[in-house]
Amino acid sequence: MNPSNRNRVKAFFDWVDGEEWCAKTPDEVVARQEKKPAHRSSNDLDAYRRFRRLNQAVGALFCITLAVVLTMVVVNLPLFGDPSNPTNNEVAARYIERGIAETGSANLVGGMILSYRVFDTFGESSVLFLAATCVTILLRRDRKNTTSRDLRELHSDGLADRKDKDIVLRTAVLLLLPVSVMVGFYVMLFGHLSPGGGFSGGSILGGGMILYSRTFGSDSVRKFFNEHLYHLVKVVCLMCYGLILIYYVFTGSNGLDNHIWLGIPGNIISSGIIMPINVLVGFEVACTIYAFYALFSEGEM
Amino acid sequence: MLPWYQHIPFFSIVLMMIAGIFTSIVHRGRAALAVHLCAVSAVLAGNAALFANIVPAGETFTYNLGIVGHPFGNELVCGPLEVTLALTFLTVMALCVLGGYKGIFEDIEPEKQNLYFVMCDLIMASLLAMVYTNDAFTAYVFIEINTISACALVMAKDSGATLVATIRYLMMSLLGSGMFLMGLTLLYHITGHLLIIDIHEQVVHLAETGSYLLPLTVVMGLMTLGLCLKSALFPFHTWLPDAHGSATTSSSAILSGLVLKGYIVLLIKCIFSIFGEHIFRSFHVGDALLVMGVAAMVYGSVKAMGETHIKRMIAYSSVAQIGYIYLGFGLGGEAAAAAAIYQILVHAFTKPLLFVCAGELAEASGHRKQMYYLRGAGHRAKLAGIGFTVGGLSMIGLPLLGGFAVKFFLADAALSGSWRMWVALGALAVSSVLNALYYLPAIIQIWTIREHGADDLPQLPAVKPGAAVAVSIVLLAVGGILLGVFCTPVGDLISTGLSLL
Amino acid sequence: MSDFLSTLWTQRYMFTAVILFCIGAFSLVFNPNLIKKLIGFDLMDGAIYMMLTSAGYIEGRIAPIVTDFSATPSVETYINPIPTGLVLTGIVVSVSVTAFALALVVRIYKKYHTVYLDVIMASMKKGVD
Repeated sequence: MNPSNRNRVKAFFDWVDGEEWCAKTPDEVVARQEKKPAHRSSNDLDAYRRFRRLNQAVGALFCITLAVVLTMVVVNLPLFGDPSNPTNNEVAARYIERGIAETGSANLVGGMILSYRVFDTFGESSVLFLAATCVTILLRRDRKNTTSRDLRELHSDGLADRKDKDIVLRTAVLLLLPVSVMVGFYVMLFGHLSPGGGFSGGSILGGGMILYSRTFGSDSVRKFFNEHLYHLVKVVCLMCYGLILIYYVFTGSNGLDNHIWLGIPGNIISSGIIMPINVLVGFEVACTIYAFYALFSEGEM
Repeated sequence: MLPWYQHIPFFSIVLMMIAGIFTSIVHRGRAALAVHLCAVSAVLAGNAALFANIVPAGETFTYNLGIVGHPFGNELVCGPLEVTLALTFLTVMALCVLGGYKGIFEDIEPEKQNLYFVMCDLIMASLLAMVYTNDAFTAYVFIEINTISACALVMAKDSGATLVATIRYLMMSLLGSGMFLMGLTLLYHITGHLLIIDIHEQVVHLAETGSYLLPLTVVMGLMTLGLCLKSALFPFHTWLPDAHGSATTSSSAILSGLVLKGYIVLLIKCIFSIFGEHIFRSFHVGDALLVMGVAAMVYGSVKAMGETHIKRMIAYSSVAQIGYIYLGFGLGGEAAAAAAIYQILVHAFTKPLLFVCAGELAEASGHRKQMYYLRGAGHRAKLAGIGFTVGGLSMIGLPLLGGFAVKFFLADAALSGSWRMWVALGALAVSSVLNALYYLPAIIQIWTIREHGADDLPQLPAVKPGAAVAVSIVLLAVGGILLGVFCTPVGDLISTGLSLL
Repeated sequence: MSDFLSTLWTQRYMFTAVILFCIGAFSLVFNPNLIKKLIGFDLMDGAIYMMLTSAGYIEGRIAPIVTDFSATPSVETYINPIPTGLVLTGIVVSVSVTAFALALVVRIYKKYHTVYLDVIMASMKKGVD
């Protein structure tokens, strides 16, 4: 292979790696921080690549060992699809046989995670809440993380957003939006009857909001969904969820009747606490997904 | 109806979570601090009542979280050991936040201060859940809550160094939780249960019949490795000094005093409740822990000797102190494990004390944390100087302080005559000397009187500590001393708790 | 040997999962590019969910969603619902962690203008805050 070809191959791999535009040497980073002009020596970068390769070769050795060990484990595990596996014990049988009678939910998985294992699921919703809070800490614009240049860029982006008069895009989104909102609500409300539930429904709803914001500008979303509403919805939903959890667990652990009406399985209004929780989680997730988008793209809601 | 106190573990966890959720709409930092302290004190009072109710009788109970009983749902378990750990964690949490509150309000942007306390609340909730849970998957969920909020505590200061420290910490933690979850998946596959008690039954059965031995070994390895990664055992400690050294004071205190301990508590559950000590030892995972623990004790101290940045020095000392805990698990036997748990308690008090005092001393030296600038800081901030001295001497192992009790218990437990005894005793001796070699110079440095004009340091005024900081330093120091003085009753309590696990 | 291979074929989903797990772990630990580290993490978690799902599958049975309410559901009809539920919980957790980590990467890129962790660390040693 001649040198120029080799360079081209290398350049291609760099391009695939996405390395071309972000490869920097420490000196360049330092220079950029100190606002001095930097000069790159390609030797320096190559030294880094060599070091990385060595590092990765060692790593690959470890991982191949791990893969071999885990493959041996897999071969020794209970067989795939075998009904007599240890996992198919009395616990799983109970969830299937008595699931409807005890939770009222036709979706046995949804029923299981929101009644027998509701504590886990509350923890999981808190993880999402926590992530949204962390993203807010990191990306919400403040004195430390925004420069005037960022603001200028954002401003010009915002203008471009609002002037986006592309008729095809707008019409397509206007057609799609009702569908995505409807599907979102359907998945949320029928979480106890069909596959779906709060998280998936909420994501679809949040996706619809992102689509709307992308096409018509974030200002038009702010007309009906601003930061106050976001906090309010998020906190109210999680608090209600928490209160339901407390009531449910308190009565359940005491062996009391919890007076939750389970309804007739298969009806839309049935399944006790599962549908309300699905709706609450759905709203929380929709808010959070949109908040992720808004914070990443603009640093504010 | 259950006795009222059996509801306390569940309500403690949920109350802390709800407090965290509520705090996110409290827009003033000080109000958020108040909410946090109220929630922690309420939960502390509840746990104290629980302690008074179950410890004298040595009672253990499981609490069913759902509509049907065992084994069809999440469960909490509570015994003397759990409630003792929870009480310690709650106390230390409140004291850490109090001790570093000045730093919190200085380092964090005003509109984001309340979010810091959200993280504190959720860390506390996750620690309580990890202490009380009887369900391995719940443990995983709360591990993740703990990971994210701990990373948020590191990055709260929002400087370049803390951001990089956070991402390194996060990557290491993610690997750890991934390994733990993989182990859990395999374990579920071969046992079919998620509740710790049922898993244990199945594991004993598997070990007896000799089926699925290879998967079981790998599961032990993966779960232990995952938790070791997250609790910064020696070869995996690389993220720790940066994360603990660069964060704001109360974050450093919480991270080293509590967050690391949460994972170790889970490891205790893995060893004693899931696998059973006997089976765990027969697979020689304990010996690996022993070797790594000893390496950590020596390596951490050696690195700490070379540090001139006081917080990084204390952080490296954490690496060494974590080594003591793993030494206890590696030695095997109830007595050694009890010593390790004793070290968890002692370190939970002593390390936050050191961090809080170091923060105060640095503040009295113009916010500079290099040892050189700290000369004479003890005279400018007397209380912090005394606190640092007490903490440092405890780490060295002066009698009547917590650190001595730990070393004594560990040495006592090591007297078995096997090769482990020599390793452990040698490591304890070497590590004590090494501890002295960096804590004593630091203590001497902060108490050296500066001669006027003898060096180029500016003359700084004395600093009076705020009431909150004073309370924090005094209580943390008293906690450490009490653990040293009353080592026999506390040790007995731990042994009882351990045998009931 | 053929025994081994036929077992491996039966366990093909789990085998794929562990291979993916190892690739993900490799990328998470040894790739200096922060974005690729995160991709590695998601791969790793995805592999675990695949493992869990295949642990719950039972040959010839259907997803545990009841449509016929006239009789008590029989265990013989449905697969094991527990692993599926765990996967649902796990997915949310990994989405959250990914969002958080990406936000961190955004901030780090803004500050250092590179996503290579080793370069950032070296430049920090050279005296950038």
